[in-house]
Amino acid sequence: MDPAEALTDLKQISTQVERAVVVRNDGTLEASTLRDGAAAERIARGAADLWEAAESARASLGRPPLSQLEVATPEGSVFAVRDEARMVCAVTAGDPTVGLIFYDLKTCLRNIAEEPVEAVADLAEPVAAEPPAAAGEEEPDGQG
Amino acid sequence: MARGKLAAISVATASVLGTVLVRRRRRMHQTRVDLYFGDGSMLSLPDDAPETAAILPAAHAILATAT
Repeated sequence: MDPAEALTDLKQISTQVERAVVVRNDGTLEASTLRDGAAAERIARGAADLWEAAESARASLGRPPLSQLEVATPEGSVFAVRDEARMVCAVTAGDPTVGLIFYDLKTCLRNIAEEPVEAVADLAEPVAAEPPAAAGEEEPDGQG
Repeated sequence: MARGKLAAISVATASVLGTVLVRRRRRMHQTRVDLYFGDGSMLSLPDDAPETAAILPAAHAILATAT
């Protein structure tokens, strides 16, 4: 799924999420729910800084790799969930349903991550057309 | 007798509800950082922890921009 579509879905599913951005792990902003592009860039930079600070804390505490975090303040909460490629960062009002927010953010990341799988599936067709050259040696799918 | 029981149950219920509300309100006004790790463990850092001091500025910057 396209990152912008995934964020639209996230906003529809989770009424507690007020703002959200998708940021590549190299810091590039991929999509946001904000209309103001400059503000979205600032949040993306803040999300990268937040993750970096949390990673430093994790390292100093000698803990395993970080998978997600929440910073709760009286003004609201900031959530971040990251996978191998990107991070989704969301802002909610105070006292959100933490488990539900994390679940929705992980679903959002999973939806985006599924996109390349479809592209690979499209590419798989021409590869499957090659086996006649090696037909006498082995089944194309490895069976037998 | 029945009125006495009813009053006792009402007082007990009100006291439980009050405790829940006060705790929830207090929790709402606290700052904390919850870190979740790849092995499924979680660490909640209070607002006076040194690690929290390093993490909070970025979170405040995000909140200030988002709201």
